[in-house]
Parts: sequence; C-alpha cells; structure tokens
Amino acid sequence: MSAEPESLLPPIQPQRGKWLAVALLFAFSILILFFASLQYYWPGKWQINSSSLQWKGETLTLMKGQGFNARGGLTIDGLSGAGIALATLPAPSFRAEDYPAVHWLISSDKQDAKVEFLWRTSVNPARVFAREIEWLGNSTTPLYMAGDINWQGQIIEMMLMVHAPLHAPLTIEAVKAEPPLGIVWREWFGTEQWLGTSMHFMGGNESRHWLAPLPFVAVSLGLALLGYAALAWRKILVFDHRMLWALVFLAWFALDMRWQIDLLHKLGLTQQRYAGKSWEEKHLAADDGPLFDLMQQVRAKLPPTGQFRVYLIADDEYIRGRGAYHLYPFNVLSSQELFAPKQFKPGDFIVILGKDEIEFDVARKLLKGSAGWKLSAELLLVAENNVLLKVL
Amino acid sequence: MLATLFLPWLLGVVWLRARWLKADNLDWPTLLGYGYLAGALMTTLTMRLLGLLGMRLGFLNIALTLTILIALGVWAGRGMPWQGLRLGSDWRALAGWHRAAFAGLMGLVAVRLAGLGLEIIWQPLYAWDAWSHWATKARVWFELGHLAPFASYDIWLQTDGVFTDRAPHYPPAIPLLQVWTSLGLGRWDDVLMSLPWLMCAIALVMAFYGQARQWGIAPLFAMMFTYFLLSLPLLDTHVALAGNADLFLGAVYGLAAFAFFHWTRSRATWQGVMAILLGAGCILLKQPGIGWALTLLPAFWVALAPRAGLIGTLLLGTLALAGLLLFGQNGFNLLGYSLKLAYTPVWLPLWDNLAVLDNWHLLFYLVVAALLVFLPRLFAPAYRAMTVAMGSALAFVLAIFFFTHVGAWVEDYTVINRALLHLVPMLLFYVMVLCWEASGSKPAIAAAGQADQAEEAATGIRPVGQTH
Repeated sequence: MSAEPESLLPPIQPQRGKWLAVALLFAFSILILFFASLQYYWPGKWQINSSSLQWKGETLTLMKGQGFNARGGLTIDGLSGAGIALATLPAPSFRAEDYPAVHWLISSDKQDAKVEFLWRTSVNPARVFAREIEWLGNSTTPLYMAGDINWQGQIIEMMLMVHAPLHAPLTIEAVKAEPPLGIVWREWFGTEQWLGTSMHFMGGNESRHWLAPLPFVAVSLGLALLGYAALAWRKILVFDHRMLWALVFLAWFALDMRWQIDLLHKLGLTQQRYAGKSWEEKHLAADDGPLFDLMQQVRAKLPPTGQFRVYLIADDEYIRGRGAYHLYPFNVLSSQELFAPKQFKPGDFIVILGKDEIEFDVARKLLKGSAGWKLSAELLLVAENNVLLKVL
Repeated sequence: MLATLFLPWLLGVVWLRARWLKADNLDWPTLLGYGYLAGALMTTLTMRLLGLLGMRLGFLNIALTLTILIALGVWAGRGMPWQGLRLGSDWRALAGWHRAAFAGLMGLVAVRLAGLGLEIIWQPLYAWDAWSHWATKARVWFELGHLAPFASYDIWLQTDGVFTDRAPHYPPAIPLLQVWTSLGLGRWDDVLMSLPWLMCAIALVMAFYGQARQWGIAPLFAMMFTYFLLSLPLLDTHVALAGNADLFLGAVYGLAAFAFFHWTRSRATWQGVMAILLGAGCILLKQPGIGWALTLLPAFWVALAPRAGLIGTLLLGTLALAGLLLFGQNGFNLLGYSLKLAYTPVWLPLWDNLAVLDNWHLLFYLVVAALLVFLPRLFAPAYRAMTVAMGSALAFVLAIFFFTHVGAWVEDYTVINRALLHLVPMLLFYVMVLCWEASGSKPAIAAAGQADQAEEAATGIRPVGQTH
C-alpha cells in the first residue's frame, strides 16, 4: 500500500469566491431556519423583547424564615415556625406574555428542600399562583411559563417559597424573566457543570422549548446542501464535491464551537474548585466533601492491619458506594440493610450512615436491629447520625 | 511518573518494529498510536504475570521487567530502519491555504487535548463506575502490592481473604493501569492516576490519523476526520471524567478495526496481527469486550472466504437471533451478564441520543447519509469485509439494546452512548474511507486483497474504488 503525500487539491483550483459563496450559503440557511422556527414557536411575539429582565437576589425581601444578604444574593438558612421561608420581589411589573420563561438562579449544597415559585397578576390580584421548581445538580432549572393559563396579564408580584426540610442554606443569586430570544440563548449557549449524567449523555436534563442545536444545525446543513445543489443545477456555481465537505465541516465546526465554549466553562469551574489542591483536598472540596471527611475520620479509628472487615450500611446508593470507595483498601462491603448478628465476627467494624431505625444502647453496648436482634458492639465514633462501631 | 506513561509506549513501539511483523512502511503517528495502546495492554499482562509468579507489584519490579521486554523488542526489530519512518504528512505538498487549514485543524485538536488533560489533572475521580467498578481494585492492589482477589457479595460473606465491589468479575487491565501510574507516583493519588486516559486519547487520535494516511487519504481530509473524532462530546467527556473503561475499549477496538480494514486490502502482516491482537485485547478491558472481539470473526471469515463467509455469517446471525427468541425468555448468562429476552422498542431513546442531543455532533447524520449514498457498493469486494465488520458491531449492539433487558437502561439513557462509544472510532473510519474513495478526487491507493483479486479474476469485474 502506497501512502504518498497528497493534498486535497483537484486538477482545477476553484476561485475563492466559490468558497465564500458556500460559507454565505450556510449562514443564509441558518438565518432562514432561525427566523422561521422563532415564528413557528412564538408567532408574532419573538421580536417584542430581546433582553431578559433580571433582579439580583439582594433586591428580594425575606418575609418569613431567616436569612441574610451576601455577595449580591439572598441566603436563606432557616425556616419559620410553620416550616417555610418566603422571599418576595416587590412590583416587578411586566407583561407575562412577553416573557415565557422564569429562571430563579438558586444554589445549595443539598437539594432536598421543596422550592416553589409564586406569583400574582393584575388579572386576578387576590389570587396567588404556584409552580414547583426542580433541582438540577446543585442549582435549579428554569420554569417555562408560556403554557400556564395563569401566566397572563401584568405580573405584579413574584415570590419564592421554601418548604421544610432545609438541610443546607440556599442562596437566591438572581431572578430572570426571559423573552423568547433569551430562551433561545440559554438553551443554545447556556453552560452546565459536570453532572452525574455527563458520562451518559449531553444536556437532556432540562426540557427544551426550542429546536435543539444538533437538529437545528443538521437541518441548516440540509438546506445549504439543497441550495448548493440548486445553484449547481442552474449552473450558477460549478459542482465541486469539496464544497459539500466545506459545508459539512462548517456545520460540524459550528456545533463544536458551542461544545468548546461549554468545555471551557466546565474547565473554569473545575479550576476554580480544585486547582492547586492535593488529591485529599480535592475530595474535601468536591460535592461529597463531608462524606470524604467522615470516612477519613473512620479510617483513623480503624487498625492499620488485621483480618477484620468493614460493613458500611446506608440507605442512599450513592452515599453507600462512595463511602465504601473512600474506605478502601480496608476490606469493605456496602449494604442497605444490616446483616444478622451471626454474620459478624469480633473485631469487625460497622459504619452506619443515617439509619434512624437502628438503635445503639451506649450503656449496654448493644446494637439493636429493627427485627429485634441484638449485637454487642463498642461505639468508636459518632458524627451527627452516623456511627462507627466495633463488634465485640 | 513519566516513566509509567512512556515505558509502555516504548514497549509497544519497539515491538511494532519486530522484523517478523514486516511493518516497513509505517508512519510515526501510526507507530506511536498503536505503540501506546499495545504497550499499555502488554504492561498490564506483565503485571498479571508478575502477580502469578508471586512477585510483589512494585515499581522497580515492573519497570525492570518492562525494560527487559523493551530490550527484547529492540533485538526483535534489529535491522529495521528508523530513519525512513514518515511523519504522515508532507507540509511541502500542501498548497497555501490547505497548509493553513491543516495547521488550524491540528491546533483545534491540540487545544481540545490540552483542555481535557487539565480536567484530568484537576478533577477528582468523578464518574460512578470509575469509583465503584475500577478504582476500588486499583486502591487495594496498590496498597497491598499484589492482586488480591475480588468476589461477589455472596462469596465475600462466606470466604475470608477476598475483597468485593460492584463489579468483582471485571477484568483487571484498567485498575492495573491505575496501579502502575500510582506506583510511578509513589503514592495513592486517584486524580493523577487517570493520566493514561489522556494518553489513550492521544494514541487514538494518532492512530486514526496515521492509518488514514496509510490508506492514502489526503492530509487535510484525514486531519478533518481526526478532528471530527476528537470533537465528539461523549468521547471528550470520557477523557475529561477519566476512570471508566469505555474509552480504552473504544480505542482498542477501533485500532483493531482500522488494522483489519487495511489488512483486507493489503494483507500486510503487521496490520493483520494488530487486528487479531488488539481485537483479542478488548477481552482484557471489559466484559463486553468479548462480544466486541467476536464481532470481528465474521469479518475475518468474509475477508478470507467471501462467499462462504457471507452465507455463514447470515446463517449464524439468523440462528443466534432465533436462539435468542426461543431460549432467551428464561434468561441466560452471556459475557458475564445475566441477560433476559425482553423486546423493548427503544427507537425513541436512540433517536433522541443520536439525532437530537448533541452527544456525537453530526456523526450519525453522516453515517446514515453515507450508508444510503453508498449502499450499492457496501458489499462490493473492496468493501464487504469492512461492511461485515461494521454490520456485526452494529448488530451486536442493537440486539442487546432491543432484545434483552438492557433495553431498560437504554430507555433511561445510561447505557446507550457508552456502548456506542466502543464502535464510534471504527464507524468514523469506515465512513471516512467510503466518502474518500467515492468522492472521485482520488481513487483508493490501497492494493486489493487476495480475495478481491481472485474475485476479479473470476468475474472480470474490478472492485469499486480500486486501482491496480
């Protein structure tokens, strides 16, 4: 097999104008599809406003619960006696129909609190409407309001209600009301952090309300190819297969630049969080930092050598698996349920993470299971509702 | 630590120059790409051998053994010229703007690799399987200094002296690579131990480009497809969030397939050997690697005996499907997995992941377009063995998706793209070859294989896209 150096040059070098024509053809296809799809999704409304309305978290007033303003955001760290916190945005005043999406930019280390967006309108000012906000990673997803029959008329008040339990402070960084073009911008160029789903698929965690970038670019490419074929057929341009590849490359490159921007954003977040740290410090700075810290405390209590085993018991699959990982090279097994006492040998260790149904009698050194069994054990470590026990 | 990255590389490179492989016309990218991945697999086999001999897994033990193997490789390749190796691209032959475009594409590839490398260096072990399937073993073996056995929960509960994790039956190559890097570091560091994933990506890119050039594809076209490969978001993610086996499996299977494609045309010894060894190497990486290795068998059969191979492959495929339908309902074990027949129409998840979500950029649009446009020539003598290889791989993955309980994981998107990652490098190479040879700008430079020549002699028809 020969592999002489070749170039992609054909016998006849086309003029530069033809390459430019191909680039223009692709740009033209994108523009046609862009405006056509805007008109399809938001007929007659997309050209009204092009910029989002945004309020910083510090402009919110905390009506119920405890919290404070810091770095431009409102942090809620406590609930009222009724188990809620309520923050309001006084008199935002805008037409609901012009802004089909609302994005509360909220972050928290724990995402177990139920968070609701409440609003009042001039159409029915006495009534308060509500929509629950979903968590994605350690932040929240935007709400698409256009399909909501109560999202109409003048918006006169927007509020955020947090329900118990609130296990970690929650910070409202900003509130955004997005026009159609704002939605397009966010859905196309909005970046996201690395998520557990990243190894499986890109995006797809939020519901989309406009053409996703891939089919958009694919259809634009199809339009451009059709346009090129038509121009070649009418003999306005000479057919050259390299032009087809130029179009394919442009389309691929356009998609990839979007991905490159996303990658750079992710890299920035990674650098901010982990650069310059040792591997242990990186784990402490990670989402599961408290778990890593707890497991380091557990490791410190275990003998360096010996034929013992470690049983790690927890309900949550991630906590169980990740906790066990932090304990290797000890001979560890993770399980949701505690085994019967006969399974354990004296000298084995049991780590129980947040299992309220299991009791330990400190005075009598007895571990009591929900099935009524008892196991003699010594308490070595307590941290919140997590314990390390040594089987006696 | 650099030694842990470069000793395996050197090992693979020198053995690829062994005289009996007759790799006379190699270029550097191919040599380096194949060299790293072959060397990495040989390193893990060496570690397993030392473990079997009861020797401690220490840096010096392994490095010394690798050095001896490298010396043996140098001896095996004595007399092979090194000066004649090509760069894979002749800049002087490129016209002005082609040169700029080539440099631009190379720049994009370099920027992407640099960014992914920084993610590896900064990000602590993140991916679920990475810390539940692989790094568990790496930590134990690194700290204990020997390959302590891992067993299922049931066995662990009844037996002393064994460890357990979520994938105790998985092959040890991936954790052994992590152990080897950690040994070079001299400490446990579950961040830096993932550097082989960056090396794997570099090797894949080099091998892809090198083999494209070996095929006779023009530098700019080859570099454009190399950029396409490295730009794929799912592939990038598996480099950035290193620690899973899928990237290595995709790279090793891809390199085996590239070599096989070449071998069908040139019958070059080294390409055939690489196709077989790296195909078999898939088994060392992950349980489904057995399946991937088997998908190359029908293609070899077709390459060696076209008619018998095609008929036999069709018959065996039909029998396998019938067997699945007849006996699969009770469940069965295959490749270490417990599978149960359950037809799941996963068209929607497939569509969503291939055509809507930007997991693979425009790859699958390009694949579908290429297959439709070139349909008449897919089973022409010059292409049929390649087509059978690709078809077997696709059939394997689609049968698992549609006809077993794995369909449930396809529906929740957790398996679909990771499984496809294994065949994507091969798929892109196949499409590149089809497009290049059909474009008409340059005919295939590759010589026809013996089977094709025999067919041409018998039928008087010259295989499409070939010159003699």
